[in-house]
Amino acid sequence: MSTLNTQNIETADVIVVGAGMAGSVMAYQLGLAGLKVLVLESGPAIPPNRSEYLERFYTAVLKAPESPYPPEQTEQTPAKQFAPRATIQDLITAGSDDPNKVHKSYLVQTGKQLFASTYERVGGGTMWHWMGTALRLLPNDFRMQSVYKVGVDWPISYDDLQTAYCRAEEEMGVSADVASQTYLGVTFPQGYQYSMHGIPPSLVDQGVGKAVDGTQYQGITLKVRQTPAGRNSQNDNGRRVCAGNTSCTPICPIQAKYDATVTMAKALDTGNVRILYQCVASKVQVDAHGVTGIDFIQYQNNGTQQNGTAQGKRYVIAAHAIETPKLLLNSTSPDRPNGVANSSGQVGKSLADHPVYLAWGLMPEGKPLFPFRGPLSTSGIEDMRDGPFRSQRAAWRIEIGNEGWNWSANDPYATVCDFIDGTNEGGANPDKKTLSGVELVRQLNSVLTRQFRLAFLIEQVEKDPDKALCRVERAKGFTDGLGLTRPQIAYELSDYTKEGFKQARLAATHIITKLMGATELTNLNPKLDPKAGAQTVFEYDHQNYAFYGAGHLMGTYRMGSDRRYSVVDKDQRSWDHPNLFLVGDGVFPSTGTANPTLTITALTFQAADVVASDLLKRTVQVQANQAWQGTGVQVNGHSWQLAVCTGGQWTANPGTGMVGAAGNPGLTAKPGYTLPGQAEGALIGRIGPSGAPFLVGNQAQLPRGQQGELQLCINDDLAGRYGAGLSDNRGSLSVEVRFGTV
Amino acid sequence: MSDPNLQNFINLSAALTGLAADLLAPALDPIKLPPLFLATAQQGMGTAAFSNLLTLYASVKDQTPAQIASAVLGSSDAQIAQGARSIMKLWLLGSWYQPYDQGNAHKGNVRVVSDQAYKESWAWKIAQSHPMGYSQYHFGYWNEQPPTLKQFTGVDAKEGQQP
Repeated sequence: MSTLNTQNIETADVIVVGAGMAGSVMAYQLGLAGLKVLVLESGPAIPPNRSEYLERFYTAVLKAPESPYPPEQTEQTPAKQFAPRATIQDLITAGSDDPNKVHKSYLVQTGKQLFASTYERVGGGTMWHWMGTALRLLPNDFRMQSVYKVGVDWPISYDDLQTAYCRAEEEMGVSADVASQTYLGVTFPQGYQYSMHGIPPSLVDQGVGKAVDGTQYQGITLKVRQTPAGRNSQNDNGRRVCAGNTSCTPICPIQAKYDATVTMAKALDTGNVRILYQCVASKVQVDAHGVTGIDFIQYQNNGTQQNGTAQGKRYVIAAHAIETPKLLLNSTSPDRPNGVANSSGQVGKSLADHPVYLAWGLMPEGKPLFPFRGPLSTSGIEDMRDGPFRSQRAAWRIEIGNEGWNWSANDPYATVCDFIDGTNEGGANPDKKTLSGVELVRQLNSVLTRQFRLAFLIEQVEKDPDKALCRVERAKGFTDGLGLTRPQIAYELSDYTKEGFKQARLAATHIITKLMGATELTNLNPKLDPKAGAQTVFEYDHQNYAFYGAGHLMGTYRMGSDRRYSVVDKDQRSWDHPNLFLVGDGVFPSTGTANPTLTITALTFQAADVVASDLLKRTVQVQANQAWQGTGVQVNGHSWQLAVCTGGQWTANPGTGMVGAAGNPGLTAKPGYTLPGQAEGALIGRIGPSGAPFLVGNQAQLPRGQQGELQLCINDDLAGRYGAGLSDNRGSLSVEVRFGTV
Repeated sequence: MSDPNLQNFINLSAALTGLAADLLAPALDPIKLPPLFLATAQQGMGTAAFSNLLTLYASVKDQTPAQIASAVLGSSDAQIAQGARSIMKLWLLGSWYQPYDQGNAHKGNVRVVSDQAYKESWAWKIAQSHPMGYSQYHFGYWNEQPPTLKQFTGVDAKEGQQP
């Protein structure tokens, strides 16, 4: 291994750390706006096709989420790897009695429980193995403290995110039907349609629905609903339609499922974005005015390393809820012993997941559901995501699986081996029969076609959100192959969250046994080994519960309205360093129960608007006595831009007095005016000299799909058909043109 | 390895798994898993034990599949009995489950023999499905009843199992 001594300086308008979902959206939006963007990605490049990843998946024994992705985890040596990651293999080791386990796991786990979720460090990020679930949060998820007196409120509401959710759904290409998604306060703009029609329900969904729909549980009417998915039900966007490979996680073989590489490809196509791969951000440098640069180490596969610094006008860290706080906490200096952006002390605090309660059952003979077919999940039971019970215990959503007992018992492997060996590891062979020949085929067919599972994604809430028990810290003395201090995780579920598990177990048994008439095979008494240290099992109210990771890393640099208790403001801008933005699921002040990707994407669109406006917003004066006036602002037809009147007065008719940008409501413009039918004296815009005029008024979204210079004009008698025309007009308006949505 | 051995291996596999020999080893076979599986089993069991297995099979091959399975799986030679179980798993799961310590391989080691072995493994067809990550079906197929077990495997499902 060698380190080249030359100090490489890379510059751009904006430096983005991370090429996953948030980093890709940020790079794309800024590139579209005309800003030069440099992305630092810790892992290897997005491959030209997915065949190598698929080959690794097909031949992996443990088909865990990480199995397709490089580097292959043949040895657990995080101290030697350049960009190690959290893996299921690490998690298994961390829960074992291996005396060396602390050295084998990248995450140094010190909590009462193990943090059970993992992630990738590769171009495109963990989106490679997201499942595709594109649910919105519920309105009450944003106001948990106000409504239920638990957790913390967001500094924004559901309505503040409405347009951004629509943009995110458009970018991903979400398949869903609006009617199925309007529940528990979720609203859509009038006439809104998702990009593609919904994904049809599987036979498993239909079987659960038949048993569950319309029944009451704890006063709530249950209903199996279609899950909105970033997964193609049509092929209008050039990618294939879903062929039901049942492997959204770990990998969609045909990219019918959206992933961040789609958006990153568009970012690169703007010509304004470049990526440095295998390039690990190591330290954020700051002075009194803000961030001055991000140090990085670029590594080659042969071990060569080169140090550098990336410098820009704005910095965006999009490295999710573990790697972002790791970078910030590792960026210590004598002035900042607690790291960067951390005057609140909240960096790394309130790490959250949707810990999963997994329950599974076997339908009676003659009532197969035919699992192992279709996308991994196509429906859920969502009606218990909100309700008055949330003042007492965690809410959950129920995801219906289409992969039989693959997640819960590693089937078909476990059941096949059980009936060949006369064992009962999977739970379907209690009599320990040993079969062969057609009897074996028939019995396996009978068992495998009757399996189903329910996953309860449980909201995770801290008892005292300002003194969180779940944290990312620096693992002092533990480094990776580049010498960077690794993340240390303290993880401990609150009683509020655990009560959610208790209620999930009761509901699961009710649905599986009472409603579906099935045999429940859930392990209701998982072993809690006091000698093994932290585990993925806990005891609550005299019962043991096993939990699984959902892969939903949230919290650790939350947004808020008070800088004493939050790391970023509602724009995702660091309270401490105004040119630094932190994006991704780390900004979530609370987890709700929706899979987080859609919300990450929506929030990143909003942050990108703020970053672009910081650098490109322009204020122009529009004179009342001149016809169409150029603004110098080029509209590209793709960005979301706004024109906002920020001051001034003018008039198109001095006899009726001065007015603002809305014009004179009592006077309607006539033919020959700038925009007939609208108020005289109103502010009018057009894109390019031949663009159709549109009303700006006090503020307007610039029309998308047209390209050219934004021009502005007062609504008046342009050619002097009715009198003095523009010549007697007085006054002017200040108009700010920036990025964003109304 | 000569052809008679391969044919015996295929016929033995058919008797143990309940899947017809011409399904395990189609006449026109561009993938050619049988010789790969034979080599895998021979290496995993060791040449001597594998040879003993085929010798035992040759002595009972005219009996019914149930009698063959009983003779092989109930053999007093533990290597034959356990090796035969691993051969069943090989066809059904595409993976070699090491039945006992042999050479550098330890009992309980598992490896996927090849990507084709995974894609062609029979457990998925027995589930009237496809391997996870290898669907040859079209959008929406999951919304409708699958073909029958007989169409997938040539074996009739249990009575009353299919709706």
